[in-house]
Amino acid sequence: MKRILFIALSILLMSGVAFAAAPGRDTSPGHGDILGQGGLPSQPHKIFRLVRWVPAGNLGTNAIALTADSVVIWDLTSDDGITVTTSTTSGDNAVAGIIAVACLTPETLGRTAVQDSGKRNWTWLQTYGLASVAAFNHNSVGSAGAAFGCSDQVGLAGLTAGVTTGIAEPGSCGFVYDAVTAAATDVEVFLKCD
Amino acid sequence: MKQIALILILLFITASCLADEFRIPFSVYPKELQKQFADTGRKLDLSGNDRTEDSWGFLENKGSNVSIFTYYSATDEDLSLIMKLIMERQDG
Repeated sequence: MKRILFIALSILLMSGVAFAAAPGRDTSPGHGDILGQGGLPSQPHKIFRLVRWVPAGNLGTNAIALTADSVVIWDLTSDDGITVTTSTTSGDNAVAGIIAVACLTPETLGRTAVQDSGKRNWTWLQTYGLASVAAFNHNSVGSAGAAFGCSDQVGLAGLTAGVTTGIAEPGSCGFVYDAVTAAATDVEVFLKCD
Repeated sequence: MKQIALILILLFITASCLADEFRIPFSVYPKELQKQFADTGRKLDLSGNDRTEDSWGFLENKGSNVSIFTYYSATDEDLSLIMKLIMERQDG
């Protein structure tokens, strides 16, 4: 009898963790994450890259930090494959991934990645695996499985379907796991930038 | 007591085997980094073949850049720690 009770308890506890209403993965990257498709150590279920962040064009205001879960692009001014920035182009083809940890502004603008080495404007960019985005822009409405990328609002994601303004082939960085409503927040997505 | 241990093991089975990869665009001194991680209680191997029960992850040195693979899903603390240890050496 005791054995049955213990088995029942363990199953209940496992189910509670696996199907929790607000799983940890929605609150922060990897934190409390229990589901995924990871296998061997050489097959990571999430890939993070250490990247440098600069404000768009490496110019302009230097007062606004980059928030976690923002969608960013590879910086077309630095051209170094390490620096990311934000975009206001829906379906931007330079989309790089989602920022995992909030990042401070550069100490000095206009520097190269080498000059910024070890400075405060470095952070983790997630390029592959289960992630969440802070918010979708006001125009994004779509069903589960829809591709997403940059939107016309800084850091916000947008569904690529229907993007026709200024870009012939919209770039996407993954797909959404659930249906998206206008201005949806904390949306579960799967990244495929690596 | 045994049953409680069994429950705890069962609970953590689902949380295991979820490796993450951290790609770092800097060169590092692997053995020094290994020592620094050891100071924080994380056993970082210099090869995936060195894995033991206590291992937290392993490092793959690619010359001008490096990848760290964790054997478990990384936490916010892991993200901060890797960043701190890597960047400390770069600044200056």
